[in-house]
Amino acid sequence: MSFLKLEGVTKRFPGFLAVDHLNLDVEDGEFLVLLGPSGCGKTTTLRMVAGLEVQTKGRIILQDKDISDVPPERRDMAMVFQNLALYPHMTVFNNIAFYLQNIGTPKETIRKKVEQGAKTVGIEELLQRYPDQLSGGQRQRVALARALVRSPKVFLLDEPLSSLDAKLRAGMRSELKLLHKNLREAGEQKGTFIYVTHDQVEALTLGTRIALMNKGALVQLATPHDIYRRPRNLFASTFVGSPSMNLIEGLLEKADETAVFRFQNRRIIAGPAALTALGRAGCERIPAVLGIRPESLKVVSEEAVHSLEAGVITVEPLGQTLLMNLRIGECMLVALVNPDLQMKEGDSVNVVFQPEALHFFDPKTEENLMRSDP
Amino acid sequence: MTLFADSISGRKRRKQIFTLVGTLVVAAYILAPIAWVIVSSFQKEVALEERPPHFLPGPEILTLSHYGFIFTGNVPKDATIMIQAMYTMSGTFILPAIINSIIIALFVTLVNVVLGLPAGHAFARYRFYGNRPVFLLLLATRLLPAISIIIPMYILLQQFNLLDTKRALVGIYSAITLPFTIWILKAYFQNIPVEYEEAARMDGCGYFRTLLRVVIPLARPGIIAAAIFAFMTAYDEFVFATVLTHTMTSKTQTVVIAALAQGLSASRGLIAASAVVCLLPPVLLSLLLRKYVVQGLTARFL
Amino acid sequence: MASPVERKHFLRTTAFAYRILLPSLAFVFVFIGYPLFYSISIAFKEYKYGVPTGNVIWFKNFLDILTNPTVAPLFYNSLVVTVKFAVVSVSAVVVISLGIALLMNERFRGSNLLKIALLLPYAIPGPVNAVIWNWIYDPSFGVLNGLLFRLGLIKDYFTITGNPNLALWGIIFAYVWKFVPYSAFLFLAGLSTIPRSVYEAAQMDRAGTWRTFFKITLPLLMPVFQMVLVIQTIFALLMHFGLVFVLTRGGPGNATTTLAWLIYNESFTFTRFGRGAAMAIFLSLIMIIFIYVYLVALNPERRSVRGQEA
Repeated sequence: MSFLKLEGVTKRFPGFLAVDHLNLDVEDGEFLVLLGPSGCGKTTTLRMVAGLEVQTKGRIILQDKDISDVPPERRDMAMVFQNLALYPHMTVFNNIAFYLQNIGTPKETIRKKVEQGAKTVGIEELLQRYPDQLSGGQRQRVALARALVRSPKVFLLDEPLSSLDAKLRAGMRSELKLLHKNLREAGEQKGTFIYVTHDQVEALTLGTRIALMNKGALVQLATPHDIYRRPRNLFASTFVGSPSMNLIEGLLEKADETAVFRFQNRRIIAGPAALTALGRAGCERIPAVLGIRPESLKVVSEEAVHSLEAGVITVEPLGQTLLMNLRIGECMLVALVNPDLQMKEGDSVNVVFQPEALHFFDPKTEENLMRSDP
Repeated sequence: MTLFADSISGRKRRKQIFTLVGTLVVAAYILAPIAWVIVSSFQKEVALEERPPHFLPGPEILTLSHYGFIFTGNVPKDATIMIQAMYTMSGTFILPAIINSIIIALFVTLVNVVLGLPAGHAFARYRFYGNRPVFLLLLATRLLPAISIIIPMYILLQQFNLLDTKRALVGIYSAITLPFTIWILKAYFQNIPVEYEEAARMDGCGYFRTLLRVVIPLARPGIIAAAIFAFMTAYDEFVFATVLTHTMTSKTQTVVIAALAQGLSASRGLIAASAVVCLLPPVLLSLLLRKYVVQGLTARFL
Repeated sequence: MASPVERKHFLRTTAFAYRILLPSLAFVFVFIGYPLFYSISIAFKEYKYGVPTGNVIWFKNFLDILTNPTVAPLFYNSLVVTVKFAVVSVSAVVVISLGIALLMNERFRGSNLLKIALLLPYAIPGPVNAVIWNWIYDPSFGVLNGLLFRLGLIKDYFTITGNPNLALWGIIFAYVWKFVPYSAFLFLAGLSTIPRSVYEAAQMDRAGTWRTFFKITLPLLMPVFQMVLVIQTIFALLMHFGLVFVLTRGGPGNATTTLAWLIYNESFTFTRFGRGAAMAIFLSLIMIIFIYVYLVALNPERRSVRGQEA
């Protein structure tokens, strides 16, 4: 039994389909990230879970109870809005306490809970201030505290970090992760989070599972590790991972006991996994798109076993790594390599394509050919 | 509260009913008086003197004679002598009065635009000594009741032989409406990036050319809104018009219709028809340009 | 400190600006400023039959208004009437227009039509409005009487403008009808600055309809609310004139003699210009006091929504 279930949830706005028959199971205590580009339907999905949008079709089930028709305030969920929606005319204390005041909690209890919530996020001294006197990061925490004091069944967060600068964002990410961990270990309400973002770094670092969405549909639901290592299709492989995966169009064919990838008169050994994929397709030769992540490309000066010759176009030092733009024939590739390498622009180098790091995709369906599961 | 309250769909339904009922009530409240005066204006005088009144008159009661009188001065021939007598002389003055009102209002609008535009622009763009105090002083003049200055105005105009002239009214109304026009335009200009004008200066435009080719086109909605308000204020004005006019040379529709309604034996249908004709210019103007009116009404929050 | 070059530029700009402003300022000063000063001087003089007698009687006019047994009661009565009218009208206008604005803020199919309908009372000139309501209130054949009679609520036709107890209410009702749309638009504009997410957050925080209104909407609407109050009060003190002129002429008795009407009467019916001018000064003072009270009393720290933008 899953904690929260979305069954065939669909949302149609006039003139456009935002969410298309989405099926999702959320586990108790997990940190589920809805990841995807703008307009993919992730925020709409979140709002439907909250009850702020009513689904066109489908059901939403919380702990085996159908809550599809339950008004938002009775779903026992807390939401952190993208623009925070702090009440500008109330003090931080009252902002956090508002919910408790509305359900008639005694004043003493309110005071205790608010102070505790404020302490958890580190804003105890700010309780008498007003929102427009706070910095972006502080407001963030107020919004979080507001959600925390309610001990809700589900926390809903809509791109909460998007308005923060890069450094602050990184700091808040860690704090959120810690918060989730504490909640999980603390009490009976296990702290189930549903988090919407378009930033794949946030998704990879924060999520226990990622639901990757595109154009209103679920592309892949998996742990960050799985999405990264075994992306389901071209979209998943290029959206997650930065810089994005290198893609080369060509032909995958059987050669002796192994598979070989050919493009523009060059060959790369594709490895046994690719052979299995060929076998499954039932052909000797199929068109395919090869994918390899920049960090999986090794650049060496002399020829090696699985290498091809390439020309260095640009070299961008990034501090801890080196980003190289390379050219093999008509293809441009990006490689992330050891910063100590001495290659310069215009040099001729060798790029190693390790077979274990290769992905192959069907050019028409864009599916990952290497995956054995549906 | 009700059994609907606990579900989203129930709530939605309740809200729909509520807004529907609310809209109907508000619409009725707003439109009923207007609808009634229009309906009355098309009814024969005899029908109007019946109790209870005819809310939905049938064709046998309807007539255009009231409007006919307003526009042509012809008393309906089929009416009784008594009713004919009700079409008092003053009833013929409605049309010229409306024309006076329109002429005055148009001139006032012209003055407002020609003077108010550069003034609003100056307040918005230039830093000069006394910018804020003078502006506030201008606005403060709006707080003055007309009654306060009507006495000296009367005396002064009498001295200069300007009583009972349209010119005097144009002058007074311009003075009343200018501060507001300047206020609207100043606010509007402050919302237009100054870079457009700076680019024009770089392109060699002098003050007037910048104003003409760049500023005015950009501020068109604001100008139209301000012009509409000036027109309507001038058209509606009552206090000054009542005191400072004597004859039809300068009497405006506000004065004439007020006098008409007080005439003890005036035809009710005629009064109703006069009211309708009087309200047509500003109402039509507001409806046609409603986008600008609404914008102007809410401009302070930009 | 500004350099000499900057100061020269500043002075040049000042001269230029005033050249542009000159015509506008001239209009306002000639037609408003000068008469205003003159009005103050008139208040200190004695006028008989519209002609100055040449006696400067200083504050006698003012004292007469406040103490003279022939004048003072009229004056105080007019104050009472004016205040009664203002308080009731402003409250009614504010409450009704806020309600209408809240209704229009819900985006539904009819809201645009409603907006158009609201333009009508606003566009109708004051005296025309008075004429319309005069006809509606007509004691012999008016539609109000007719409706109530038809519905069986009254046994016989009655007069509103001739009844000292009802006359003021008749004026109030006609006044409110005309001035509600203007305020409704102002409120609507204010409401539209509140982002929907604040309401959604309140919904998630389990605030019911009334709680949301009183603890969220109203506080955030405070600046607009103040503005509407000030504007409506200024209007209420002045703009009823056309209605009184047509409907009741201050009567019956003195039931609808507001200060504005009294001034008009004193000045132009009785040609006691001096006294009229003095009363006009009182009226202006009252207005200034009201405005000051509002701006000070209702202006605590304003927390605008602009403080936090995403």
